[in-house]
Amino acid sequence: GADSRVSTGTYIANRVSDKVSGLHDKIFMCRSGSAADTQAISDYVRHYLSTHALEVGKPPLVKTAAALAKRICYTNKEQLLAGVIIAGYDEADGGSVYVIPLGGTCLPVPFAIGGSGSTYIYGHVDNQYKAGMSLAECKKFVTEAVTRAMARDGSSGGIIRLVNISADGVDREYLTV
Amino acid sequence: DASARSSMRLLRGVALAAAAARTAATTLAAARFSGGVALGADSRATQDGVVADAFCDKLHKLADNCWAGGCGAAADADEVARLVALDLRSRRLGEHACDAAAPRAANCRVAEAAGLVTARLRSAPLGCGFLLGGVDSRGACLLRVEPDGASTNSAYASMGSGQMAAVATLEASRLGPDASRSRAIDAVRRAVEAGVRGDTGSG
Repeated sequence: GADSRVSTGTYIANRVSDKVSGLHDKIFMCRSGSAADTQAISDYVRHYLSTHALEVGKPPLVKTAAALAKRICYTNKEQLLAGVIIAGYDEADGGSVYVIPLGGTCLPVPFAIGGSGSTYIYGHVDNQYKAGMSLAECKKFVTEAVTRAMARDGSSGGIIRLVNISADGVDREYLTV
Repeated sequence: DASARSSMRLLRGVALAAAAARTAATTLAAARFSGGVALGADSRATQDGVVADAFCDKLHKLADNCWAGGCGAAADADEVARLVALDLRSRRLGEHACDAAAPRAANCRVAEAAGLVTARLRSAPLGCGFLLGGVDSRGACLLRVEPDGASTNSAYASMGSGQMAAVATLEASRLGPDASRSRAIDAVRRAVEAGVRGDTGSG
């Protein structure tokens, strides 16, 4: 999930943007930091993944997408301002989440938060997260976390975009307020 | 008056050589409707507070179905638009090299045009941004492309120094997803007017 505010300085360039980019059918990337940098990264990873998927003949693994993004973020760490979260579903590992903060480290995690608004919700998510939540509970967890971050962070706002990925498929939705 | 406009363009050509004429002082506004995008712009190009060209054309045709409004450094915006339009045309000619459709192939996919613009902006430190709008088989699409190459998709947008005045009008016009062509054009016209009235750099 992500908020939808894109600002250039104090002007909100787009109040309904989509910060959850698709990398492949069931692999998505939440983008934060410089929009230009993260869009460039997601374009490269999408391109590499589509070629890779054709070569192996199967949907790519989430950890492959994460490794590709990490390689780009780490080798160009001086030039990039990008914090991303790669998440998705594959047959081998089921649902997985990888977080790649500034600097280019790649960490497999049960849940992740990122962006300027994330600083306000570390306590909240640590308190609310439980292992083994259902899809509905996960949606509620993500929605509440983003809502609370939007309430306190000036650079976050608009609508909440959610992408729910599972073995059955992908469901994109948005929630207002 | 044609001769006045052509002499203004000569003036602009000379002025650009001497110092950077900018359309950063600009109002661009655009709104998507079912079946297309309405794109509007003011016509003032300034050079450090002096109007270099009062009737410049900031709307650039990239293909028959895709136009871009440019703001920022006028030279950069004009050149990027010109080169992207040429790239798109030469791709169409290449695709139809062996048949008679080549002369009439003047459309593009909006994502293709956006990709070409973004590639140029990412690779060089150019000081221009665009509101890029077009219609293709996937529908109408409006993209706001920042000078650093970031692009963002929305139903309506404004750009330039008059963007705040323009977006206030666009928000107030309450264009929904089923906006009609005439409502979108009217909203964009009023948005550019708001920019012209409320911003010193637009006129």
